[in-house]
Amino acid sequence: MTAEALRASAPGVRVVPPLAWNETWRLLRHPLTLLGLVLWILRVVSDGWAGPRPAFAALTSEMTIFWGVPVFFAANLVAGATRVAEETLSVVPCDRQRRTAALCLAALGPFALACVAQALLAGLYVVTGNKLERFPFLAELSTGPLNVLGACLLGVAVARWLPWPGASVLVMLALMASNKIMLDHGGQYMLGLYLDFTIWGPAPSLAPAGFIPGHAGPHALYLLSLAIGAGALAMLRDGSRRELWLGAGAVAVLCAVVTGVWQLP
Amino acid sequence: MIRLAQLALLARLSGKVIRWQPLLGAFLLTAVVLAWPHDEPLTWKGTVWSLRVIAVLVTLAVVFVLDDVAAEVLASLPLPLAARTGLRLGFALLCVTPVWGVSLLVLAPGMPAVWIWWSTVELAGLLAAGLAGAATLATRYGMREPGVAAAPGVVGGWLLLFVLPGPVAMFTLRPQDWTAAHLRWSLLLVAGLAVLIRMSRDPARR
Repeated sequence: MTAEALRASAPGVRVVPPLAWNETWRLLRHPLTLLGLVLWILRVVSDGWAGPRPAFAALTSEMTIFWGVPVFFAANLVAGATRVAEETLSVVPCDRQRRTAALCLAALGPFALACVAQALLAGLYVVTGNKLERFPFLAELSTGPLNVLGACLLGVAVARWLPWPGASVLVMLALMASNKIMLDHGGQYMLGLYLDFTIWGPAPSLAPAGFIPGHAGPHALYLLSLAIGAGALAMLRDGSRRELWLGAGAVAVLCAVVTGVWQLP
Repeated sequence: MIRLAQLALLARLSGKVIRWQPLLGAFLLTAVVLAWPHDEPLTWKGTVWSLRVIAVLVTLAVVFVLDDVAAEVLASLPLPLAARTGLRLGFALLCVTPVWGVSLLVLAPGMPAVWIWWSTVELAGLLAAGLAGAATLATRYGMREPGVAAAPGVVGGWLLLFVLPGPVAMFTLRPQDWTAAHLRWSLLLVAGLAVLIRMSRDPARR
C-alpha cells in the first residue's frame, strides 16, 4: 500500500483513541513522570506527619511542584519526540493535528493517577488519625491534580509552539519566577499556580496558624481554566478548525480572568 | 597521538558549533538574580540560596554544551571522543568561572566565609552530575541534542536533592550538618566525574 493510499484512508480510520491510549502509557511510564511520583511520595513521607501545618500543605500543595514540574517536562519531551521523526511520520495516516489531540487526551492519564494518589493520601490521613487544623475542602484537594493536568497540557503546547532546545526550561523558569513574585508581593498570591493554603506562623512552623484569606473553589476553577486554555493553545498550532480552538482559548482565558478575580480575598 | 595543530583546528571549529545561547541566557538570568531588589536585606541563608539558584541556572545551560548535531560525522576524525568532549567542557568552564567568581564577589560579604567553598562544591557537584547525564544520553543513547533531555533531568535531580530527608539532606543550612552534607556533595562530584570520564571515551576503550 502506498503512502498516498494510506493517507486517503485516513478520514475513515479512528486513529485518535488508540493513539491517545498509547501516548497515555508513554507519558505514565516516562522516567520524569515516575521521578515526580517518587519526589511527591518522599515529600509526603517527610512532611505529612510532621505537624498540622506541614501535613495540610503536603496534602494540598506539594503535588504541584514535586510532581507537576517533572510531568511538564515529561509531556514536553513526549510531544517533542515526534518532531524529530516528522519526516517518517508524515507518511502515516495520522497528521499533526490528531497527534496533538492524542497528546492532549493523554494528559488525562497523569491527571487520573494524581487524583487516585491524592485520594489514597487523604484516606491514609483519615485512617492514621493525622491531626489537621481542619480537613481540606474538595477544591483544596483538587489543586494538585489540576496542576498536573495543566502541566501536561502546557508541556504539549510548548512543544508545539516553541520547538527549540531549552524553550521548556525557559518557560518553567518564567513560571517559577512569576509564581515567586506573586507569592511575595501584595495580595496576588492567589493568582499563582503553586499555593500554600496555610499560614506558616512562627518557626519551626509546625503548629496550626490559620489559613490564607481567599476562596479555594474559584481558585480550583481558575487552575482548570488555565489548563483548558493550555490545551486549546496546543490544538491551535496544528488544528484545521483554528476558529474553534481560538474561541475555546478565549473562553478559557475569560473564565480564568473571572475566577481569578473571584478567588481574591 | 593528538597533534596540537589538530586540537587547535578542532577548538576553532568547536567554538563555532557550540550552542552558546543557553549560556548567554543563564548569565543574563544570573545578573537578574544578583541585581534583584529585595524588600529587606538578605540574611546569610538567603544569600546562600541565591548562590544555589545561580548554580542550577548555570548547570541548566552548561548541559547544552555537549549538543552536537555533527557528532556522527566527527566520530570518524582521527581525534578521540575525550578530546572533543574535553574541548567543549573547557570552553564552558572558561565562561562559567568568571560568572561564578563575580557572583561570589557580590554575595560573599553577606554569608560565612566557609560558604564560598561549600557553594563552589555544590556548583561543581551539580555541573558534574548534569554533564554526566548529558554525556550518557549522547554516548549510550546516541542523542545528538542531549541537552534537551538533560536539562529537565537536572531540574528533576535538583528537586530530588531538595527533598532528601534529614539524615541524607543535601541542601541543609544547619551548622552541625554542613560538613556531612558537603561530603555527600563531594561524593556526587566524584561519581559525576567518573561517569563523565567513562562516557567521554571512545566505545572501543570503554
